[in-house]
Formats: sequence, C-alpha cells, structure tokens
Amino acid sequence: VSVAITLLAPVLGAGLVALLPRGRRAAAALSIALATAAAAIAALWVAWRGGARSWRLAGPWDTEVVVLADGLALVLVLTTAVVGTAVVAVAAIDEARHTGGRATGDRAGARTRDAHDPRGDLPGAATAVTATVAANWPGWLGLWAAVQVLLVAGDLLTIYLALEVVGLLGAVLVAGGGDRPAVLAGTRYLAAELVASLTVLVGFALLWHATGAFALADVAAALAAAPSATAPGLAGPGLAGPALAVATLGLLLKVPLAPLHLWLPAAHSRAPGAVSPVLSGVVVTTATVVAVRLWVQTAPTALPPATAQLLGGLGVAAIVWGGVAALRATGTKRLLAYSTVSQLGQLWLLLPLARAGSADGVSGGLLHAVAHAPAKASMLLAAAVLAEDAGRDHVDALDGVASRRPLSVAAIGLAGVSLIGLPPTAGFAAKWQLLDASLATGQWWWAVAIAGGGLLTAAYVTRLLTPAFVPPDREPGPAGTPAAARRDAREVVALVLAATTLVLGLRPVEALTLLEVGAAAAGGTP
Amino acid sequence: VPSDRPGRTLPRGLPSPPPTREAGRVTATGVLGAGVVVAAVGLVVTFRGTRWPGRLLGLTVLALGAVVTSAAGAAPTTVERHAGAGVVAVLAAAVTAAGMLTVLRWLARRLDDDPERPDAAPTSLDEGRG
Repeated sequence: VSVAITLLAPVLGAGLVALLPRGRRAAAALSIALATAAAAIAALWVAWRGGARSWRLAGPWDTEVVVLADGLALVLVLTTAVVGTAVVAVAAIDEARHTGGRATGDRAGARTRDAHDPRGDLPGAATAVTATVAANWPGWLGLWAAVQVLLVAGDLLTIYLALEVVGLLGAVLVAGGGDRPAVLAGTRYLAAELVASLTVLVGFALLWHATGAFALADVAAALAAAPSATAPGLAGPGLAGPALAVATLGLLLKVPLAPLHLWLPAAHSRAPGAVSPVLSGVVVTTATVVAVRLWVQTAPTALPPATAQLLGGLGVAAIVWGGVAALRATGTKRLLAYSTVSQLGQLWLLLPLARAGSADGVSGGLLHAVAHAPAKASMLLAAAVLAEDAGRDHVDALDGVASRRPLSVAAIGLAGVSLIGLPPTAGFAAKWQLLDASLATGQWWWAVAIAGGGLLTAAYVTRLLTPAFVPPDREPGPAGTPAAARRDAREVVALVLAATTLVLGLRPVEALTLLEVGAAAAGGTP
Repeated sequence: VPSDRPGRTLPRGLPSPPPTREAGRVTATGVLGAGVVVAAVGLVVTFRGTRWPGRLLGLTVLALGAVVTSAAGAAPTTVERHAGAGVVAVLAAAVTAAGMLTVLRWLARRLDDDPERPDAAPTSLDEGRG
C-alpha cells in the first residue's frame, strides 16, 4: 500500500493541481509532497523489516509491469521525496512572498532582467525560484512521478517509457524559464534526451530479441540459462552483450558522462530555481540506476572487464572535466552544474568495482548518489536565494553575503563539506566505501581519482564560499549603513536539507544496509 | 524424406522446411539489422547537423530506425510469452518518440521565431562555454 501511495500520489496530484485555482496550487502541491514522503518512509520501513518485494502487474494484451521494491529503489525514492518536498516547500514560500510583494510593487527578481553572460551570469528569470513552477506545478509533479516509476521499474518497457517521460518533462520545465537562453537550453536538453532514449530503445530491442523477455528477472534467467560463451552469434543470447553496450551508450548521454555531458551545464543552470535542484540532485542519478539494474543485477558477468575499466575511465574524465570547468565558471548555478558532472563521474566508478565483485563498491557508489542529492539540491536552493538577493547569479556578486545571508552560506558550506567527502557527512561515508573497495579489488587508480575529485571539489567549493566572507567594496544597505542579516524560511529549508547529509553521515551503516536490501534478487522474482 | 503433409514426400537431398517460428525469427533478425543501420544513419545525421531542421531530420530517421528495431525485437516470434505486449511496446515506443519529436519541433520553431536568433544561432547540441 505504501509503495502504491508513493507512486500514485504525485501522478494524481499532478492532475488535481491542474484543476485547482492558481492561488491554491502551492498548498496542494505541498500536501501531496508530504503525503508522498510519508508513504516513502513507510515503504522503506516495510522493506527494512520484511525484505525486498516485487510485483508483476498483469495488464491487457499480455502486458506486464514489474515493480521492484528493493533497497536501491526505495532509498532513492525516499531521497527523491525529501528533495522534492524541500523544493516544493521553498517554492510555496517564495510564491507566497511574491504574491504579497506584487501588491506593493516590490516584485523580487524584476531588477535582474537585463544582464546576460554566456559564462553563466544569468538573468533574473533563472533566479526567481518559482517563476515556472507556479505556472507548471502539474509538470513538476509529473516529473517527480516519472522519476519514481523509473526507480522502481523492473521491466525494460517501463524503464524506457519512464526515461522518455523524465527527459520530456525535464526539458519542458527547463524551457519554461521563458527567455531565449532557457528555451535554447531546454531544446538542446530535449534533443540530447531524445538521442539517448532512442539509443536505449535500440539496445532494449536487441535485448528483447536476444532473450525473448521484457522483465529484468526473465532477461537475467535467459542469460543465465544460455550464457553467451556457449551460444555465440547475433540471433540468440550472444546478442545480449552488444545490446547492453548500445543501451549503455544511450545511458552515458543521459547521465551524462564526459565527453557527452555538454548539454547539462546550460540546462541545469538556465532552469528555474525550483527545477535545477531536482534535475541536479535526483534526475541525474536515474540513468545510473538503470545501468546498475542492467550490468550489476541482471547481467553481472556480461560486462567485459576492459569495458568496465573504460566506463570507469569515462567517470574519471567527468571528474576532471567537471571539476576544472567548475573552477572556471563565473555563474553560481553553472559552477554547481559542472560540479554535478564531476560528482556523477565518481558515481560511475561503481561499475568497474562491481565487475571486480565488490559489493561494497556498489553500495558505496549508490550511497554517493543518495548523499549528493540533498547536498546539491540544498546548494542550488541557497544559490537561488543569494542570486535573488544580489540581483544576479554570479560568484562575484556573493561578496560579503555571509553577513547578510548566514543561513544560505551555512547551507552551501555544509553541503559542500559532504560533496568534498569530509567527515562526518554522508559524502565521507560514500567515498570511504569507494576508496576501500578500490584498494580491496587492487584497482588503486580509482582511489587516486576519488581523492583527486575530492581536492577539485574542495577547490571549487572554496572558490564559491570565499567571496561570501570578504567584505564588499560598497555596502548595499541604505545610506552606506551595513546591511542587516536577513533570514527567511527558504534558507531554513535549504539548511535542513544540507543537514540531512550530516544525519546520514552519522548513520552510514543503516543507509548502506538499506541499499543492500534485496540486492541479490533485484531482478524480480516471478 | 517424409513431409509434414500426409501422402507427400520431398525430393531426397533437400533440407526439411524450417519451422515457421525459426523462419520468423530469421526475418526478425534481418529487420532488426536494418533498423539498427537506419538508426545509426539517423545518429550520424543528427550529430552532423548544424541547424535544427537538419538535426530534426536526423532525429526522425533515428526514431524510425529505433521503432523498426523494436518492432523486430518485440516480434511475436521472439517474445512468445508476451506477444501482445510486444505490439504494445512498439506502439508505445512509436507514440512517445513521435511526441518527443513534436515537442522538440515546437521548441525549435520557438527559437527560429525569436527575433534575437542571429545573435545566438545554435551551432552544436552543447553550449560548450564557461
């Protein structure tokens, strides 16, 4: 029941919110978010006590939808719910403020419409937290629902369809920023998603042909019954390897890993303030989950060791490319978008570790995804508040902001500590697990990459925070008086979200245990 | 050589007729290969395109190839246990691909209609700056 509520609440909520008058949409969305989060907690509790479960839902015309309620799916569903609820809360608060402000002529963000810097200094449309969400609550909730469906999907058709919907709604929400850069970023995002989805579809079609099955459990059984070594060729199970390779190519573009990542920074930085956190925190991990379902749980021996090393190498390229680009970025949101590229690179190191038989490597990589989501979402929420405060989204505009917005700076700092991988945060636990798995499997080069990635992260987080503590040349307060510290509820939400990485870091064993619930049978039992 | 029809025999030396299922599978494999080739052509056209009309053409070809591939991959002779589901899969794939192409075409048209277009004409799928 709890899984059903978790999946259905955002879907039904999207329709409900569309029918409500504009003024009531934010409150309704917040209620739906809280209900979804509560159901996700209940579902995870049931899995913790009773183990993983899977259902085969039979439909008309022999169709079948497989739902997997294992630790991997449910932990990430809860992560999505936590991030989603926080974003909805911030958007609802912001909408209420803007509605009140409009009456007095004090419309936030209106002063920031002019500046445009291709390196990331965004105009006001991208800094207004609810600019698009308020107009497109149904789309936002639909994205949430599609992400959850993708996480629990246990058959190839549902996975493909959910990937399509996630890509479509994500791009539409990015383009909903309204100005030309946002539309351009959304168009490129959709083009990249379409290429990726269709490539995944070709891979899945080859897999259907190779195994005659849709459900991951059936695919796994078919591959186990007739391993490719004994049935070579392109008409039977021997096709499974190329099929998985083609599907992975599409997933690499969806993740995205370097050098296929170039659509991401623009899309994530041009998206409205309430869309970026979901894209950078949650949506980016979904393609990796599909890769784990395919390579780790369905066909664990099909991944050639050399290919596993190549995928890890692409991860390292993403770590370096994203980290260096973040150091050079001038816009706050663009810096954080490149940071996402870098962090995703670390996530993909789990594949060579999994191929070497390291369960710790898999759970460490997945914990990294779980730790990254609230940290990055918190940073982007706080960055949106700071950008609105400063009138533009630029690192230089953060001069002295720590005295005016201490809570936002604290949120960025705390989340940054987790991204760097310092104790006692969840980021530390995840990277420790990855480091341990790298050394235990004799693949020390991944440990070097993880440590280097941590240093790069420390460098760009420092670059982001340093101006905040430097007194500005000119005080923004009236008549030259120092600006008083300002606080609002949005900053509190961002700080609480960042603090979840701390809580998770203090209980890493429980998090890792939950992620491993049902890992052995995640292909789904009939 | 005994035939599957009573009272008839095939000339000695010729192979037995392949079962229908096997013939269907061979046909599906051929269509599968053709679909993959078409999809690959679409992929190349998409990435070589420097303007949205060219990219959209490439994406349409890619979508066509992907749907043909899925039609062969999910053919009833392949996924015997879920023959109906195979048809649904192909239809769903075709509809979602067409939907995404339609939305992409609409967004690209919005860009073309933008009076600022000459200032920021897209030259690649990425922004690649900053």
